Amino acid sequence: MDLLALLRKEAIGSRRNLGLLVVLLLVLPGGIVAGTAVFEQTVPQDVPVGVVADEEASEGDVAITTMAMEQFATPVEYDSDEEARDDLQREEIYLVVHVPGGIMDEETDANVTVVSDHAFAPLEEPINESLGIAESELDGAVASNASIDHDQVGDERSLSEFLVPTGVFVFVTLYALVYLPYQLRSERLVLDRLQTESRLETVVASKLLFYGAALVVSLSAVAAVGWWLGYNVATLSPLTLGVVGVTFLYLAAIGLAVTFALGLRQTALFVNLGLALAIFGLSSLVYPTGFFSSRQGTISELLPTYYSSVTTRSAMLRDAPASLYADYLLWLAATAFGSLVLLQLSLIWYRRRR
Amino acid sequence: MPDSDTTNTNTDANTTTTTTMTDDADLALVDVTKRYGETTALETLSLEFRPGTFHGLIGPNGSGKTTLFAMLAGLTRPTSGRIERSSATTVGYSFQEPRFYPSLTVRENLEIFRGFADDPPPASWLETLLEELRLEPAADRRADELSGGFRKKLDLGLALIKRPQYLLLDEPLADVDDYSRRRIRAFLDDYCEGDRTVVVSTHNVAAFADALDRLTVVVDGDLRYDGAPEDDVVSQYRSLLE
Repeated sequence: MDLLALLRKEAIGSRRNLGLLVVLLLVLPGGIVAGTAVFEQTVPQDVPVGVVADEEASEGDVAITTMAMEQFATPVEYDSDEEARDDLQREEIYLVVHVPGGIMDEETDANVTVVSDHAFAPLEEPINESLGIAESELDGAVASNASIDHDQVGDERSLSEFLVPTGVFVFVTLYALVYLPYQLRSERLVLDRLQTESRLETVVASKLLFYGAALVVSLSAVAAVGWWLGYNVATLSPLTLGVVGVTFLYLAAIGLAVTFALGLRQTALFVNLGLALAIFGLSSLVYPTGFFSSRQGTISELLPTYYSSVTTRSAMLRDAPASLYADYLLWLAATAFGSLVLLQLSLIWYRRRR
Repeated sequence: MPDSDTTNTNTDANTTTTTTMTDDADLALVDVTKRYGETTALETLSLEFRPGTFHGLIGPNGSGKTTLFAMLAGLTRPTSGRIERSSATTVGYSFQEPRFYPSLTVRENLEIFRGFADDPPPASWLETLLEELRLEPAADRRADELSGGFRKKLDLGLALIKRPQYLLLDEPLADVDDYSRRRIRAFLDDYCEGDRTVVVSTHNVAAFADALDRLTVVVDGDLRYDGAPEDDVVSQYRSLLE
């Protein structure tokens, strides 16, 4: 009978926490399974690559090379090598394909050169496999003896080094989107008193400032451990600090907006955890956008977290000027502004519900 | 002490209360109604709080006392009517359910909230509160580890830490031991001197019966009485409820 009484209590309690249970038992597992639909393949499917034609290359040479690349990529034509290499560093494309002249000429040994970036270490093996396929396609399609060479630019990076900015991004996401709202919610009882002494906006601003500034401590720890392991990673560069700061700001603002909009209820923590999982799954953190499917690529490019991830990686692993990422940073700043507006609206909503 | 010329009384719950505001009241409600959806917490209520008085806001559970306090403290807005509160007026609020930083000690909580004041009282005031509220034994303990009585006393200390002009106390003696009650009562009596106002909201009129300068009775959101208390406040309250 004890068991029956306790089970009855659980049933009644569940009814009272229906919102939380709907998120926990329905939305989260359903979302995880639905999310798998965008991960269709384990070889590149729709990775953007840049095609640069040499001066001697004909339209036919470009067309036949592009066709060979379409097996695993979406080719984009560039007028200059410099422009293509800039976009390589911005991860707008993941390879630069140099098309030589004479591919269609059967008496020529045509050599297509493909350039990738050392900084994107996990892509090395898949590229080699994909280029093998492309070489077979190309060789079978033209009369010449066509081959593909693979060059890499930038400092050589290990997979471990590559994962440092990814780890930083994952940490910042959990810290801003899950921990900070949890911390604020743990002080929910004092919020009423704080509102008699100050403004809710000031309370929230103090949290954003303090926990944002505290990220410097975390990044210093990352830098120290990286140095100890012998990694060559620019963890404390101005660009790294800037992009991590603005990423923290918009994620924390979204997390807090959700928390206030849901009346500081526990459900908000699960919603934020769900958002964090969605960000990890859809922001192309480890593989290029479009690697798993076109759909995954499209979703990634719509998310500000994708640009945060790319800019963090570039700031820490690539020797590129910050100006190269100016439009990404502008987009992230706009996202931060929009998130702060959303947070302000949720604070108004929270107060009006009283 | 109450000014009988300007006291607004409404001894009949069915009659309309007319209020004449006095110049010396820095805190007042004027024709305030507060609704939560279909529920009316307060209905067209006008009330003023005068300097230097010990003001009892009495009523049974659910009569709208806490809602009234929340409006005076600026935590919620009236559905209609207005709150009059001059910008220089300082208000301290002790909540029915204590509100403090759970992970800070008693002393840290008091220090933090003292820091909110534009013109904070001297640091010795904090020590006075620790002593008068009998919080000293718990001064360095985390607030979330305190017993119910200490929690209530900490909340009272936080309301007092700015030494506000108006002190709003919602059931301030709940869970507090008898000895501390006497100390706190005596302390609050002294606090009213120097034009400071203590407004106590309680359903336990007997606990403050002999201290009240002014009595306001609210029942089901309506103002049932507002004026000078009679000698036997408990009987007066009972008759107002009938």
